[in-house]
Amino acid sequence: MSRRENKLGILGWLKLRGYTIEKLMYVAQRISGVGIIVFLLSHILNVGLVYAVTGKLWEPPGIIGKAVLVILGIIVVFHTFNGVRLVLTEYGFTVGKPIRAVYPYKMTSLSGWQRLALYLALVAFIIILYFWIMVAFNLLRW
Amino acid sequence: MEKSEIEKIKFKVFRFNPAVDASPTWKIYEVEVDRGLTVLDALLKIKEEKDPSLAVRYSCRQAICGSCGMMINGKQRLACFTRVLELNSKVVVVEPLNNYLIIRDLVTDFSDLFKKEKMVKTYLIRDDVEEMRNPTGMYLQKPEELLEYLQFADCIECGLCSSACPTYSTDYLFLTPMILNKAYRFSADSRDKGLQYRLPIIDSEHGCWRCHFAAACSSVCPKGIDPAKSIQLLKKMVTSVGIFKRMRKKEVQLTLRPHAAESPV
Amino acid sequence: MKESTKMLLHYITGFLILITGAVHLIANNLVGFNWIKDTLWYPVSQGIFLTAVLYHAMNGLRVILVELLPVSSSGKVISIILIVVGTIFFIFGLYFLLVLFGGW
Repeated sequence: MSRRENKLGILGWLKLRGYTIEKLMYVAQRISGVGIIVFLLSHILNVGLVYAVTGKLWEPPGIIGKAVLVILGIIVVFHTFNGVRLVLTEYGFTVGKPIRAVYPYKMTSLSGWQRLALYLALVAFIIILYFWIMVAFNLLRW
Repeated sequence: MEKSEIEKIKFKVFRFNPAVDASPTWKIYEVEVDRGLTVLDALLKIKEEKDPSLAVRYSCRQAICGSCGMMINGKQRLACFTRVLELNSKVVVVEPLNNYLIIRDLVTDFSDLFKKEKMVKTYLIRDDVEEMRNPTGMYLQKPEELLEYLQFADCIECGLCSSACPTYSTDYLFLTPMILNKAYRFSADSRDKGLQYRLPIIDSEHGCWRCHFAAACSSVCPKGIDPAKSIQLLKKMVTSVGIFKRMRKKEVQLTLRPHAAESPV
Repeated sequence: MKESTKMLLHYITGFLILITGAVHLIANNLVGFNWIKDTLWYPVSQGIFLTAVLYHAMNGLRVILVELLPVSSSGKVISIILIVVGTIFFIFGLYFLLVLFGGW
């Protein structure tokens, strides 16, 4: 008897309703990572073929250049701080100790230190992004 | 006597019979629901009164066998553990669990999980062959050693976690949260000495490292197992075995209690 | 290489990127810190940055591709392609570093 396939595929990444914020963080980390790779490879070529010759980086014209800088800031800063949280979590430091599973159940990996690290990562993200945008628009005299 | 609220709720149920249908359809049934009625009760009411051809897997109806897992209003839940009125919805959408092959209607195929469970050797592995062949007593375990893995041993293998996992939705070779949880339950047991036999499959391209802590598994687990936690602890154990050998858990002395027949009393 | 070693390197390079990347951004964008570019350690840190970023990026891509294309033999093919791409960009990057700082 044939079975029907029921895998969500890559759309499974977009199924966020009903799950915790950690799933959103996972999807955002992946997408920001891919975005950074696209920038990285173009930046290496930019530096070597344009900067090495003219002393200035090639930038997309006008408002697009500034928009690219802002988007880059968002993805780089988010990926960095979420990445730090993930390294701590994946080596078991923030997930909490095994406990007895007694109703009402408490998932120590979704509350406690890991959730605190998530909120701290988001706060750090907002603060550093603020400085990034200030520098990008030449508003920081340093 | 308190008048119990009775509401008419529509159930939009996924129907697919591979012997007859070319593609799935949705059927809507209206059921009178009162305060304590669970989704499983409603589905069995549909089977009894309206449509006997509905295929549903269930057994204990008290959230301990793990048979009745399904998607209820877009989230993985046990049908016997979900009260209809607590969903706060006039239409309840019932579908088979994601990421598994559908056999018929709401019944899914778990054979992929069973195959992976065999690969991961879900039993205690020891080297004291003589004792295992002719046991003289019990292996003792301190309460704190028991606590290291007890939470993860409560798993009822309902499969909700693996259905919610975003990695398993794209990667059918992934070991799944349910199996990795079991692997940790046995590797963390102080009586077990078999981590080296499980390592090749756990520390592989589709093993524990394809988990990226989306924690969807822990958010849907109906028994409080927290598989996301056990997978991260498994990653710590796997890394420390290879590289930080000194951080590996010390070998615990096992004492044997004399068998009752041999005791002097 | 074991998967756990590849992922440990992924996290170590992530940490190295955090440090050397911050140096890169500060030295290149804040005028008051442009003097960092004239020190001896700057090109060394940028070499480390280039290596770490390329390893982290290629391993990250490998992880995503291995999950999206789960055929059992695809892992080797994906790894080889990404090692080649990574090496090409590493050679480009190293050459440009030498041009910029070595006076080639």
